[in-house]
Amino acid sequence: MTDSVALATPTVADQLAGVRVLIVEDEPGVRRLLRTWLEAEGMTVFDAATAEQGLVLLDAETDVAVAVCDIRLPGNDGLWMAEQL
Amino acid sequence: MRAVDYLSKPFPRERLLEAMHRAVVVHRARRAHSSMLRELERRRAQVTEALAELELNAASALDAMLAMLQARDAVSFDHAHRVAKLSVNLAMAMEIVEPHLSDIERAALLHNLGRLTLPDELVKRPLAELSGPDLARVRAYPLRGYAILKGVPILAGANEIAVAAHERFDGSGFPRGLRGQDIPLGARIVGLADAYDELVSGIGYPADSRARALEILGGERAREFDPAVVAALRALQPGPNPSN
Repeated sequence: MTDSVALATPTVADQLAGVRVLIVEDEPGVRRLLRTWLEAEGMTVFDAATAEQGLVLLDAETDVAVAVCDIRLPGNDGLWMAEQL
Repeated sequence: MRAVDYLSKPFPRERLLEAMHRAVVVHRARRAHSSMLRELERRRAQVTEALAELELNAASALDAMLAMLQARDAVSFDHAHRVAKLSVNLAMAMEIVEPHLSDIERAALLHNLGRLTLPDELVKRPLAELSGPDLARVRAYPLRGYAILKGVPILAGANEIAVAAHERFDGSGFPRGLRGQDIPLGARIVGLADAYDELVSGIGYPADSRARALEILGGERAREFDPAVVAALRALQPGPNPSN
């Protein structure tokens, strides 16, 4: 499997380039910072300000592999969101 | 879904990337796992399909053999179908389940296959008129049928029943002269169904009524048959219950 070859030489940039990631974060400044960091690694970033919005995005977008989710959010929190996945 | 990592704010860029890395590895492992499960399911479906096809092939092989039987002897072909139907009804009444029901049905259809190996003049004469080497030859025909089917694994169960369908409970049958419980139950069922159908359809004799046939099989010929199977046949009969 090509995956295991990649695992044997895990350079962070190789692993993350092209991976689609969702950020759920209610503070716009933090959201922007995370986006900058992840895009620098070649990741495709989607973001949402609430857990509910995040779920709507995950429904709409295919192949989102990872989510970075703030735990304290307005409305349902990040742990609730993890349970929905 | 379980979280892969927890970060407490504020966290440096490296910490986020490390968590991303870990999450991507987990994601890929999960995806590989579910694609393996899908592949497994796909192969399972293929195996199921192949088994169904095998079953279909067995049925076609059976049909071909029956067509041969029909070409040679149409009377015995129709008789075999009636015996198969009655045998299955008797077996169900005796609470026999699959795969034994199918074996019994196929055995009933094929119980006269060995007759194909007999010359016409022997096939057409009633058993009672034969003697000496002719009689010995006719009484050996189930073994010839057994030899024909021996190479077909899916008919193995049916074959063991078919070869014994002419055995009789008192040991007077053929080809081996088995008696009582030494005769497979399926063969005791097919044997009675066979004898009953011969009586009511008048194969080799004038046709008897159903009630008269039952009277013969449970009376003057009772020793030849398993009483439990005769009781099942009696219970299947329409009309007033004789025990009332």
